[in-house]
Amino acid sequence: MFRNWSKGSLVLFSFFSIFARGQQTDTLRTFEVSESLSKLKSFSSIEFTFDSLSSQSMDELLEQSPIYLKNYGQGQLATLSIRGNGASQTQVFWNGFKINSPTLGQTDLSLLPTFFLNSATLNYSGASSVNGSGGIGGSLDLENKLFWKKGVSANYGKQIGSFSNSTSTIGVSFGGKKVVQQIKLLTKKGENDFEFQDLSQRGNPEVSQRNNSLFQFGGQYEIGAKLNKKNLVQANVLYFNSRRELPPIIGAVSNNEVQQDNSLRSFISWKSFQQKYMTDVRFSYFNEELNYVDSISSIFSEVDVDTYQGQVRSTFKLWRSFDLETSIQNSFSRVNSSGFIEKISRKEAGLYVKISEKLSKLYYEVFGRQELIDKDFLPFVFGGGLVVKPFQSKLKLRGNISSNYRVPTLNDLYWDQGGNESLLPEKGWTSEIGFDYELAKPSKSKENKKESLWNAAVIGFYNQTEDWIQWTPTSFGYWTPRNVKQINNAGVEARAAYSRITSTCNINASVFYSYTHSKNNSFSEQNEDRVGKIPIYIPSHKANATITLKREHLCFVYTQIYNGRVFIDETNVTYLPHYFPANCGISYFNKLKGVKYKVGVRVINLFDEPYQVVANRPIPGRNYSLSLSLAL
Amino acid sequence: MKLIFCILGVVIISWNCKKEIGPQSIFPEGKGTGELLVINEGNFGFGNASVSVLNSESGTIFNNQFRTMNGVGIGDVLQSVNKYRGKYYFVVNNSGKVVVTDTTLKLLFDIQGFNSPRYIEFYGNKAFVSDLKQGGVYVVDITTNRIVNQINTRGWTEELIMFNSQLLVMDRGYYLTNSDSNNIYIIDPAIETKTDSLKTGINPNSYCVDGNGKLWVLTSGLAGLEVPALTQYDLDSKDILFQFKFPSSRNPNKLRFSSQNNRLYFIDDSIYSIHTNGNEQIPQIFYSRKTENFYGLDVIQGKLYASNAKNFNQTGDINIFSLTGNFLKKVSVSHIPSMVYQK
Repeated sequence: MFRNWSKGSLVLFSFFSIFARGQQTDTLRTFEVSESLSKLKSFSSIEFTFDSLSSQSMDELLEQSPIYLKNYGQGQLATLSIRGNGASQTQVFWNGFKINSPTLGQTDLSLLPTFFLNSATLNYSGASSVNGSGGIGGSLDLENKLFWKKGVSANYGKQIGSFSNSTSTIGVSFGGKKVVQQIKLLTKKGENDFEFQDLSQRGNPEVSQRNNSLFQFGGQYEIGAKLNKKNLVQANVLYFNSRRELPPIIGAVSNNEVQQDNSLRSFISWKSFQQKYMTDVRFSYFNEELNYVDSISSIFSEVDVDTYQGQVRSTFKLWRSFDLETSIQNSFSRVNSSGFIEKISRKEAGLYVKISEKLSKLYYEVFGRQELIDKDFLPFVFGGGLVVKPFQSKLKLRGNISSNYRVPTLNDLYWDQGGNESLLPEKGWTSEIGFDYELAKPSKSKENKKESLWNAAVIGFYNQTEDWIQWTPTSFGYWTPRNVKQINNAGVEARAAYSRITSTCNINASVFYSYTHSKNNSFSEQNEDRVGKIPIYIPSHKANATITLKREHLCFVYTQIYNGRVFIDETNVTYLPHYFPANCGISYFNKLKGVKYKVGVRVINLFDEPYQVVANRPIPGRNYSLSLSLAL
Repeated sequence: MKLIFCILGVVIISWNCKKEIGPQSIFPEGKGTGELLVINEGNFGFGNASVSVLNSESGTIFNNQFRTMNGVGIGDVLQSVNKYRGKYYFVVNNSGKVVVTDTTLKLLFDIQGFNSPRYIEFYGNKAFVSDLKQGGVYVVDITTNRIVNQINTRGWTEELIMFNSQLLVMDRGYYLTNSDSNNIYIIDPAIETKTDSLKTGINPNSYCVDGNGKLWVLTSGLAGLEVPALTQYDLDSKDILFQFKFPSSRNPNKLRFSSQNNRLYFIDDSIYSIHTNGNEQIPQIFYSRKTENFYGLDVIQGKLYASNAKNFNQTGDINIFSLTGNFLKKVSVSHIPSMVYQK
């Protein structure tokens, strides 16, 4: 079956490749080199970029957005919750390829060092559908971009922190006229034996965290080659290995649990740029292993996943500013898990089409996606949005609506015992409406185009997810997943940013606030205690503020986070209180004999606030890190 | 600069307002009275186990009583409780400890060092503690409150019964598969030695001794090998006196005995009952389940207490019945109620 499927895919790809090569006319540089599908502009998203001197982790960055980060502790599992949806409803893509585990259905952000990436885009709305389905809540798109810099350049980073944490990075790139290559290596380790208040003992004595060490290493090789003025090949191989101990919750015995994750991710992409269209033919291969060992309980769990994905992405400039984008995707996953009776495989195919047009005061986009999983056609996904500039000013009104769905994970379907092969996909739809406003005050100086800039945005959202999958107890002593409930989420997000550039000082300040009213609307089984209640680990209020001050060679950053109360049971009688941690840092950057350097110190949890993000999983108090970055 | 001061102001105000750390409950605070304890097992890894006090006549319930008395939670997965010499011994499974309180639930001390403890019984100055993973029964000196010995078994030791100065220990085999041969060991608690054993069906889950000193064992069986069964044994001869075999799809558990009417009760989705005189060949339906997820069953002074754990990730309730099957009351308690115990 796999052979037939792969043969079909190859025929399809060959057709598009020939089509792409057959009409070579002029070279156009209007297409962005690194992205073959454009983002949905009427949908909410935030982009984070990483340079060679940055040392922030993925979870630290995402804390500066409206989404809720569920963090089990330093170096431990970290997942995203977007607008009332959970970690499984958030898809993570690496260079356009889905990387959520087909068995667990989610991605652990602590296994994604930003050092190996150039940018991350958080789509916290229906824009997640560009790369694939499953992101009912939203998606995180991770990207590697090619930088055509001639000659040899290198960067080195060293970070040491409290609790015996240290991270070392080194990157070397070689750029020629037609070929650019880059090698990156990273190691990270830490004991993470921080002290916390043991709330399970009288007097709440300070105790040290146990069984919480971490060791990670990885390497990445990237190559980009310009075959000619119209054809570009990009390839990337990333290997990452993580071994971490899993600490017990407060007041529980430690079983000395250890989790080891090995991943090999690779892709190759061939982009062809023509005058009226571009085509990107791309393949990826991933191998992921997860080993969990609890030797005291004699539990040895192993999962080994091989995933092959192929895509043909095309963008057509049909006339004036009317664009058409298409994407055809195929993937094949094969899983060997100690939780399954036999090896399980899954085949997916999908077609995505989007049209968009930019007029003088109006931009609109409409998309549709149809997917086939094994032999079953899944519900058609569609969406569209508008951006209107009514007054020729900096005011933009935008709104959108889209549908999405998420298929059950392989564990949901085939876990022995309890897997339920009759599960339906989760279905959802999302909508947004709001405005963005930008006010710039021109500078009198010739050097700076703008002296100060105000940005503000307010957006309201409403989304609904049906057939939510949840593991529930059976009368046979084991648990099984069922399509149990429908949830509704409504809310509003507000953002304001201010930046001011003077001859001596740069100031950037931004504030986010989000309110989410989330509730369980109905249950498939009669359960009056849970209807109308707030799902667990969904804060109603979340806010953050960041101030960055730059003066000559010094940079000061202060970040304040607020997470509101979350309920931790479905009847809403137990909760985790709100928390309000702050981080700050100061760095000095300069150049010495052609070497750019940056020396920094950061204070995390500045006010030493004791808090928990996940119940009974302590977070370290005030802690420090020192960093040194060099780039030449 | 105004913006900076505003934000710093909010920081300081909010920082000073914050008082709560870790899981909190919206149950009303305050010490309650009642003749029964309700053990709320709590979710594994959530640390939300708790103790409620129940007045069965009025149906008044007071939740979170251990935390109310002591200012701390009792631990992770509260498995069982037993009272001895004016003290309660709470066995907290995933905290690997036995928490000892006085009769007002005031914490006296913890006994530490267990692997995955389940139940506790007493003899003289000794306590015996069964364990999920240890492959034996711990012996604790309750004058020093230290583990002093371990009596080895094949696997998971579960419910303990002290009968005629002999300790009965149920051994469920290897805890991940329950596929070993299973036994009930008879231990002389004075010399801490196995003196006899009784081979049961596969995977016994609960047992009790009836008014005539006969042993009743409920086994879960194993798919493809053996069906679940309710079996009556003569403890001396080890002969099977009575047996009822369930269809393989069933999961009977929590066998309990009422000396008041000499009947056995157990959960199999619904609640069933059978007389111990052997005249009833088939268990009778006692209460037909609607949407309940019965997780615990106890008979106390002429009443039957069925704990409904619902979806496990929510608060449960206790359903109270007369022994003739009349529904009397339903009382809301905390997370995963599993046991009701007479104070």
